[in-house]
Amino acid sequence: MRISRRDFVKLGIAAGVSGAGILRAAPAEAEEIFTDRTRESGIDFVHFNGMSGKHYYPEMIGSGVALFDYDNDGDLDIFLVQGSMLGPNNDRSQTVFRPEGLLRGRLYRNDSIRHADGSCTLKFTDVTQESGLDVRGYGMGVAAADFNNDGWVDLYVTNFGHNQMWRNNGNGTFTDVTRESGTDVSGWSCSAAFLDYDRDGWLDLFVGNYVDFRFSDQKKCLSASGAEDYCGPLSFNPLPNRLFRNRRDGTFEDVTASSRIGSESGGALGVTCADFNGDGWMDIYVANDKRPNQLWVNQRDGTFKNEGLAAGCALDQDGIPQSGMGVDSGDVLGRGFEDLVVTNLAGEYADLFLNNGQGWFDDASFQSGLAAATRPYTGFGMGLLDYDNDGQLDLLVVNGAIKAVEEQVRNRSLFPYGQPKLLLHNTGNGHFENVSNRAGASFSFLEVSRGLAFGDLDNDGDTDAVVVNNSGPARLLINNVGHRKPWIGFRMVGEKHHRDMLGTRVAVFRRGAPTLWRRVHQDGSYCSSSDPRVLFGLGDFPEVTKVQAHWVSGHVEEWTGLRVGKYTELREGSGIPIKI
Amino acid sequence: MTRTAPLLFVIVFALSLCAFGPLSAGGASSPREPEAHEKLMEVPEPNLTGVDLPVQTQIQSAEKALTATLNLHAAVGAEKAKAFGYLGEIYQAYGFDDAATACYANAAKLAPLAFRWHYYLAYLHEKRGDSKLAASEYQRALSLKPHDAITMLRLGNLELDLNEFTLAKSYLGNPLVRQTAPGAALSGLGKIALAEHRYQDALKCFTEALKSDPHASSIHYHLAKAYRALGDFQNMDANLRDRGETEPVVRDPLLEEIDRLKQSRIDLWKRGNVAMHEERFADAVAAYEQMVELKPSDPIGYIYLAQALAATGEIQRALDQYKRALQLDPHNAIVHYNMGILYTQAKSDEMAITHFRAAIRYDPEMVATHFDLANLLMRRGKDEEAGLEYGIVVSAEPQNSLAPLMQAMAAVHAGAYSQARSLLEEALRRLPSDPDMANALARILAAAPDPKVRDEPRALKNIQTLIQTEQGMDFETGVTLGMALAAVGRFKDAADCQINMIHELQAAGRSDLAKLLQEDLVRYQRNEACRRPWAGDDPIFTPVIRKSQPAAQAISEQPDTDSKREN
Repeated sequence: MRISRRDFVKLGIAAGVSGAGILRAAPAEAEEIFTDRTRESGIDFVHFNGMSGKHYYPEMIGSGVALFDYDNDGDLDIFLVQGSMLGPNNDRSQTVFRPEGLLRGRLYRNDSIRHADGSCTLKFTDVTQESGLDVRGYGMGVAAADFNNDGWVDLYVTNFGHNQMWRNNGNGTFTDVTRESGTDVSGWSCSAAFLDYDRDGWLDLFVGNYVDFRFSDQKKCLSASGAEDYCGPLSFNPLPNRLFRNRRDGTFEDVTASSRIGSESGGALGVTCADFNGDGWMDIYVANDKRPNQLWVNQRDGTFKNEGLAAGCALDQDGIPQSGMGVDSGDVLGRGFEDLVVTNLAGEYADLFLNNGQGWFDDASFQSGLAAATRPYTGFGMGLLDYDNDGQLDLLVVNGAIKAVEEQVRNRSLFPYGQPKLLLHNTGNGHFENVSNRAGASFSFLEVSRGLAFGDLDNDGDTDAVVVNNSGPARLLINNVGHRKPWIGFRMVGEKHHRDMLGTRVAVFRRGAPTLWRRVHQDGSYCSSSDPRVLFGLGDFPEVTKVQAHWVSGHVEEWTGLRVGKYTELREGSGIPIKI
Repeated sequence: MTRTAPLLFVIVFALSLCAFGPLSAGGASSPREPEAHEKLMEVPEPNLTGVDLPVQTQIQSAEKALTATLNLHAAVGAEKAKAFGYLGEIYQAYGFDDAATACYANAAKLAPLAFRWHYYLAYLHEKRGDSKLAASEYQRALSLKPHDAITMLRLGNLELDLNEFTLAKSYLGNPLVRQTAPGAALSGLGKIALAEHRYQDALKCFTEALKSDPHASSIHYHLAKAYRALGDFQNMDANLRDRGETEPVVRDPLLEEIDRLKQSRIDLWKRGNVAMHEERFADAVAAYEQMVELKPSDPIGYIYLAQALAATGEIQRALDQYKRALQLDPHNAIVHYNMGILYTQAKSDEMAITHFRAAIRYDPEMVATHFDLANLLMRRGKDEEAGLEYGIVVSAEPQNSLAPLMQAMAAVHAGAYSQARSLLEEALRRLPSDPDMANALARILAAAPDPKVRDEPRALKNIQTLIQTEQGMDFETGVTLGMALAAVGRFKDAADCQINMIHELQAAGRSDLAKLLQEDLVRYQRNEACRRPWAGDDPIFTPVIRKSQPAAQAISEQPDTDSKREN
């Protein structure tokens, strides 16, 4: 029986509403932390993975989403990465789910309307056609940043195949500048990240590459009973990651070899960039699938050294590599350090690595309660966010299995890999409490979730999320609770170039309460790109005495008298310089 | 009757037996409500689509056995429990954990004093990530068998995961546990000590654990963590270098029973792989032969069988299996490649080249094939073709330092010194710190026959820098230094260098190498420079072809591997 994408989506959503074996008990909408507002917002994207029953590995891995302001109108737009046909004799009639329409990435412009009473009517318009973004190919992930410092955010799309660099022309359109920029990578790339690793004021590009999968070398992988299932990453050789240095003229130089980034391959799925050892230079943490994770520490001379093992963040607490997929870094304990969280396979657990401030980590996965909460699930997209604006970073994880779920196989599901989502509340002192049962109805949908991006889509002062489901609908999860607590937000832009200064660390000092630290970033999660603005929930201590920025250039500045309850743009050079 | 019907029927029948009890001598008994403890769980029926035939047969046979037992009026609780339990074991063997859990739950209900069902239940809860339920079942099991060391060990590790360190210590420190699985017990105690910041105690535990189980290479990671915490970075680095992924051995008789039930292809494959790893090649052949028998139409079985046969030295039989694989999959690049390797070993170079070329035709991006083909061509003096193949490897793998070196050597062997020099200079721009290429370039600059290619002062500078960077001289760099010294006219220094090396080599018992230096020594003593960077019979021109075949396309590990805590 041929099933179309739309039929399957309807079935899935219907089953989700009726609770017919796919849905677990869901809370009433009034109590929801996040509400799924996909349909009413106009987002009608359904991911297509091209599966045809041959268990091609790339089918299970995509895809991602970017939240970025492409038209500089102050609100976040959405770019969703699409799959395509897979295999040497790709023929739509052979796919399990029949795709509808053109298979390409979709750009949705945020046309939401903010009312006088503060409420917001969400509205997104599909502007893919007029944008010129003709992103075809088997899409995996996306990174959004202004690589040419012209004030307009560009897109780098990763594929199973050739990657693409799309330059934002500043007039609502994009141009494919892959070849001239020199950033084409052929193979299988997943997560990518922009970072200024050499502190020259221009964003460089790290591309995480996965494994060497080829149709000509299709491996057969079996479950315990002999039934065919998807292979794992150890069936393939890992591909080397790539680092591109920005030449400041619209082109990049491949410095993979000279930077030594290419000297070790692991099968990268997630990446996050931050100054982990506090020396003022951006480092790169890579989550690898079934091989040790890597902490590439910037040597400050154009090279990097992998110190993951010595730093204690490469393996699980038993010294075994896990299946690292999603990753994020942030100040979990409120000490001002970049801690790390990594999602893994069911049967493993999500890792929490606490930074000692100098780039050495202690594994707190079990003590924090994270291990117990995440062990039953295969986590992909994830992120540290303060969903309730209490000043503590919480954790949102979206899950989806790689191995067929027995119950769903029994129920003859055509795609038996669905799992629920997780919301974990940071109770302070590095402990997480599972609050998924209050998170919202969509958290209980058994979906094959992959990409996840965070951002304040309705600009109401709390963090929303967009989820990409493999072979399923994208979901817009709007936060209902965070804005009820005091908050303050910033867009950190450069002195010379009006772009987001990725990597900048921002500290908010509050009267009578610990300082809050956040980092300007678009990377992290899985194959996705998030809102680079920094949003601080102030909890019960709303009085902000000063705000400090530690720019990537090394300069430190302070501001006072900044208003709570709004986003303020802070330009490098506009504050009071501080010597640290 | 469909597959669905019998099980449902069984459950209904089982429940009705519980409800209605045996008939009395005087006539029909009145129906009674089943007692709460007799209510059994519905066993979900696994979907057997695509499952290996022997596995299907095994499962269906166990299901029939359960039905038959439940149909028996005379069957008592223990017998029903055994039948449920056995079916549960079969389900568990093949990964149908939901069904297995239901079977064990029923077995435990029907025979609550039977240790094994609670143990298996606990194990499956643990595997599913439900630590609390698992702990509760393990405790129940332990109450039935208080001295079971493996249960205590598992409980100890679970309590550790739940941050219940006191409880964990009590289990892991139990003398029986320490005796049965010392490596695992001490490792667990060490982890507790780490978590409690008692680093010296942690060191002690891990060190003892390693002593009792030296192959448990994962313990080195814990040791590294303890040394790091104590600020001993030297020992930290040493242990990180020795780190592996082998965990301490835990012999779990109950899980081994489950393993012995397994008959699927993946299990045969795993059995074969373990045997290969332990160099029990005959056992590996036996396992893979069974795999082939199970599915003669699948080329994978033949590929693994061929590898095992090759390992036993039966090259011809191995080649026969590869040929069968090719009959089923003629475009299989890996098979062609492996045949190339075997033909090389059998000294049938032409056949080897044919198969390497076929492998490249079907998978041009398989870099290893280009490299091995290049080596073979080089050995046969086909330098130009070898150079082309090395060049492909260089393009595909910019980080590969051996390929550009060999490409240059192919050019040298063909007398194309200028080309060799360019190739090395280009490669060194990419990989500036590669000592072998640096040495090769220095030698060409010093001793190439063509004066246009030579740059004697640069040769000397380069080789001296290299020796300094490498903190000493080896045979190859020593030879190059001699050539470079002679090239700039410092013949006495060149000769002295040569003499010193000869003496050192002779003292080290390497007169074979010392002999190679004699010709150039005589040259230097006659104030002549060397104009031949490498002798024609230098081993560099006859590269070794690998002996072992690479891992074939898999049957690979399960995509969502079972918890690594499953031993």
